[in-house]
Amino acid sequence: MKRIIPQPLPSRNDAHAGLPPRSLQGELTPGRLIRSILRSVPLLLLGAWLALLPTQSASAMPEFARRYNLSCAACHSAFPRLNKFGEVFIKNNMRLPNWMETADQLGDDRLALPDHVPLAIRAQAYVQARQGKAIDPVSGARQSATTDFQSPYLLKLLSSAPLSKDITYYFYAIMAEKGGNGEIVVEDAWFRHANLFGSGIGMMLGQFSLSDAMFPREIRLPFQDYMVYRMAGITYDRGVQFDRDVGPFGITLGFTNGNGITDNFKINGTGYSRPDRMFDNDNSKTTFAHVGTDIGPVAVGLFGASGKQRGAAGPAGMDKSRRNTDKRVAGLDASGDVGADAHWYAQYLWNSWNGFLDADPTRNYRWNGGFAGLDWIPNERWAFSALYNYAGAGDFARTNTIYEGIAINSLSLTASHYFMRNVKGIVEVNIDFLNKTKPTGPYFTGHLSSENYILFGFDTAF
Amino acid sequence: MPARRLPTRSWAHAGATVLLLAASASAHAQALQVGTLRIESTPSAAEVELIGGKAGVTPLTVSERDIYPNSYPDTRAALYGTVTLRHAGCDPLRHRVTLDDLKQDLHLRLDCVAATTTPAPPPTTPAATPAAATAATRVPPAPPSTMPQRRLRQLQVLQELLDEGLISPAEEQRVRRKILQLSIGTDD
Repeated sequence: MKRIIPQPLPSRNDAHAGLPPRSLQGELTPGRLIRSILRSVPLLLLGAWLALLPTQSASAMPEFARRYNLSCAACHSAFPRLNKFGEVFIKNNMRLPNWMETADQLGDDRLALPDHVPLAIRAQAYVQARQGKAIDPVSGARQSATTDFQSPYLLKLLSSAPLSKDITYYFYAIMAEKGGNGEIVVEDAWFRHANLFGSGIGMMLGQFSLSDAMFPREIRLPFQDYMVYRMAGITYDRGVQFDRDVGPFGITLGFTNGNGITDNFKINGTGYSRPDRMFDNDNSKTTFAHVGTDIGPVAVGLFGASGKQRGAAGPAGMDKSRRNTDKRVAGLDASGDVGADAHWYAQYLWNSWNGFLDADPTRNYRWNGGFAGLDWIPNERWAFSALYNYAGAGDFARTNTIYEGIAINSLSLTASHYFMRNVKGIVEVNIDFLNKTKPTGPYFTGHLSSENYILFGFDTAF
Repeated sequence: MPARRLPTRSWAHAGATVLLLAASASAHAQALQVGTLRIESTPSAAEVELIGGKAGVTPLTVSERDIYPNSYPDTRAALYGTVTLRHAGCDPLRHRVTLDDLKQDLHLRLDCVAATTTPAPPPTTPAATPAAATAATRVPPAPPSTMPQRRLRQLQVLQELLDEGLISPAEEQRVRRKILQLSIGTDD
């Protein structure tokens, strides 16, 4: 990969240098955190109460449920988590064999227009009390909000439909994600052919997340992310992915541009701009592969990726280098069930970013991390989740760059209450086990503030 | 700076409000009554088989999760999302459960005209195409000599189901078309 910027790390734009340091306000003690939460309780309760009322008559259901006249329970053990049939459905190109019956009957067997525009919406709104701060790595200016209404946190418009015997498309666009009002971001957007040249090989072309070959982030139950995927920069990219089952093994092989999903460049080699754009700006492509199999009751997989990424330069490593540097990722994943109601999963990733920092381009930076989680779904009303995230900064420690912030050690505990199959309220507590550190140099990098939080909110799809 | 103690009144207020909310949520949850399916049949006392095995005899109420379990053996994938009824003297009947079924009780009429005690077809469909994907109603093939009467009987049953409000007009039309198309195909 050519350029991977771990998204959770603060960027220069996050800072407001003109604001006074928030350290003047003093540290947030656990007592203050609790009080701030309790001060919000009446509002939270009012919100919860209001949100409960309309669900009595709600009959919303996502697009696939509408298309196939099936309950959400057919594919989800607890929205958005998939059950076994849901996974089969995804593997089957998100179609059931009777998909043609769901198309408009136009008397043309070469035309399968969906009988309605296949749209669905996912929406999330939260209120959060947290200790984490936004800290400018250069000036040290701090911004913090112990309570934060994160509403809407996400508005997502999704669409998918089978278009032919073998081809399905899927895309979604996010509006106002995480407060980014005025932006629309397209993440997953691909066509998939289920049986290329009759070979049994599936091919996906478009934008997708490399990490989906292991544990798709969008179907997790906790609010907290699978952080190591973001830190390793193996989320969204543009490329092609092939998959096929070979005996007991499920094999995925893919190639991506390696520069994410936002770059595009004018083509003006003749000295006059052409209307087309380049999405990639060099010949290096990232190659990735995943091999999965079942060993008894445990599903295990091996992941590997190799490519180029732009190095880091400038103050605290916040700027993109002009150099392409080598990047390798290796991973091991495992998952399984505990009885009928509980499911566990675990991921380990090893990363080698060679010559990544312009400050010392001869040095190779290795770090590793992972996560482990347990979902317990005792009944149709409740789901409980625990997610442990860990990553060590490894060779980035004491580099006085923002990459010291790769370090994480936290446990997120989540309770989800399902008012309806597609409407849930969640409460999540994140416990940060890392001690706060002091800057290792002139820049304000490292684990400078604790990341404990408690969050309430709603998550729905219809 | 030592943390200021929160007044006891605030704790009591918050606690009482949380209890009120919990009670309200519980009441809402009970009122919603989602996730069950009542299965009735004519004739009654038909044996009900779900993907997990024999579930009882009609009339029977099962949970949605009994029909759509989160996990199942691949060998029984063909039964995912279906209800199979068996009754002595009647043809076995397998029905794919739809959202419409979950909104109202499921009433299935077994075909007991000239029926034998033939067992239901074994679940031999591959795991990748579970029965949730197949047609809503699967009527076992009948001997050629009784085909026209069989179709007529099916259409009559369909009309009765529509009259009793057990299926929607759209469903009735869809199944009627299938029966007629099948009939035409057989006649040819």
